[in-house]
Amino acid sequence: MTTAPVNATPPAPDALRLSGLTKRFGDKTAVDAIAFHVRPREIYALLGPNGAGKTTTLRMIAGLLASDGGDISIFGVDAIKDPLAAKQIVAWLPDEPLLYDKLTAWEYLEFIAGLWRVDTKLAEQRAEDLLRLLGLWDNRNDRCETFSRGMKQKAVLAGALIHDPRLLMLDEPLTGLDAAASRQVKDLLRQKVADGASVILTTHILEVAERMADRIGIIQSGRILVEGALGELQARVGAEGQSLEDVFLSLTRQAEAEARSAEPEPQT
Amino acid sequence: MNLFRPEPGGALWLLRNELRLFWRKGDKKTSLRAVLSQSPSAGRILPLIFRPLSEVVPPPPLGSAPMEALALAATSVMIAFIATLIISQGLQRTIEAIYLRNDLDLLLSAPLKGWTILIVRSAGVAISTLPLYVFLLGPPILWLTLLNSPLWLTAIPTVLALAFGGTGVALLLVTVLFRLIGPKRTRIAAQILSLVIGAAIFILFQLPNFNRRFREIDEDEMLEGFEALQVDADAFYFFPRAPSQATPLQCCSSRSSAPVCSRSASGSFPAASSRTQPPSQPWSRAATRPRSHRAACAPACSPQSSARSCASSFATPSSSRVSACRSSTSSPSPIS
Repeated sequence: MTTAPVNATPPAPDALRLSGLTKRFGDKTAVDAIAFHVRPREIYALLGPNGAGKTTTLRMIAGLLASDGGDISIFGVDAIKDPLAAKQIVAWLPDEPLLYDKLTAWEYLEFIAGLWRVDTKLAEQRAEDLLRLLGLWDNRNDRCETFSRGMKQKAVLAGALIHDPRLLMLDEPLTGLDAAASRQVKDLLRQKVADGASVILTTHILEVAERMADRIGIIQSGRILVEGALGELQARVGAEGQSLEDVFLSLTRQAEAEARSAEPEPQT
Repeated sequence: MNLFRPEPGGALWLLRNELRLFWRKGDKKTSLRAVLSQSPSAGRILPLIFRPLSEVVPPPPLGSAPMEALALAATSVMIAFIATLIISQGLQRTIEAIYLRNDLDLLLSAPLKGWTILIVRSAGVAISTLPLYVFLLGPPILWLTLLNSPLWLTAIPTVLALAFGGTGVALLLVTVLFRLIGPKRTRIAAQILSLVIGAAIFILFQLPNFNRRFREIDEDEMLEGFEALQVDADAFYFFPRAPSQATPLQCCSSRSSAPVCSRSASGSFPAASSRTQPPSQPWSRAATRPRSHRAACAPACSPQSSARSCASSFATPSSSRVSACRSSTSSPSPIS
């Protein structure tokens, strides 16, 4: 007779699990019963052409948009039933940096830490570490209105990390960053993943996704076309050895052609 | 709960951030502390201006004489003016706070309740409309309180209530406009509405300049005209003057006397004055009487009286109070 192991731990929940997530704006379905998952300690890149539904999906996960159906689970927390608990472990970085121009970088981080109720001492330590890491320490007492686009983006990233989120959602995180700053951000994200966080990011710079992401999901017209590691995607389109850009263009064109052929022909 | 060091993430803490942002808006380099440190020097000059004013302004609560009715009407007009301006300002600031400032996404992605954010944002709008009135009304209220009657302090909750009420109306208007015509047009509509309100107020204040008759009118003639209008100062459209004249406070101070208060305080001015007595002396003359005499004519709540005595004085039928005052005001003043 076999017995079940006494100390068997249940499998760790996914960092993010979406099932049947839907969003409509009037007659237009922006996100159409989308379903995918992000594993713990994973970088997941959500790619798609403009208007595919990437940002809408992230905004629903962040609790900024109400969904019209489906489920969102973040580390086992139902984000629709218990949004406050879900928001506590999530950070969302929008494509446009949301900064208070009249606050200094230090005050901004202090404010963000307060929003997540981080202990003051801990928040100060984290703020110092992040500002030093991102090269903003010397500008900590400057108002954000004096910052360049890249500095703003880094300050917002520091704000997103100050409460040590378990899931980071980044919408075009490298837009406006120079090569050095881009490298700093990528290194920081890898460090956070090594420390146990998970990342879901959208980007139009496919090379970034190719180099950084563990798995990639391609979305078009609110639906996931394919998802998997780069090798899986290449195998899917029979393009082994080709770049992610080639795979992406091949898949999206194929989906466009299928959508066009499925449309009823206009009556004359 | 410490009001000066509120708990992070709470409503007061968020409100403090709103106010900090409001203060820093417009590149103000001066800190609030620096402004407050300058206030004692202003305090030395202001009594010179307001001491003469305190001699001619009747102490509240104002009773039931034509001149007092005129003062009440003036108070109501003033309050209506402030309320209109606050709504106009509130429209602009509400649109800015809810639709133009892009930090709502940041706040909504934080583990805060949506209601907390909305309440703090609305309170921020209401408070941001206040500085103008603090600047305009603060000094007169302060000196009228010191030199005339502490009841002038009731102007503070009145202005606060106007700011929050006006902001509420502005929020409602913006929400309705947003639903009906969309966000872009709402912004334009609100700007036009604010401009129209501003222009209407300006034209209203210029009316005496347009009409020669207005400039030539003297005090007695104004009083007669006011009496002829048979204005009921307790009519609903004069309601705003009630809090500023401490009437509800008086009534609420004694629950048992509240029904009596509401009845006794509802006498109409013309009915109480013009039928039996000639018009009372203008306040400019009445004010030269000793302070104790003035307190007797406005017995509802003198600075020295307790809440209970205030309530009991209100319980006295208004007509008897009025006639007592009438007889005393019509007698020769010991000074004049």
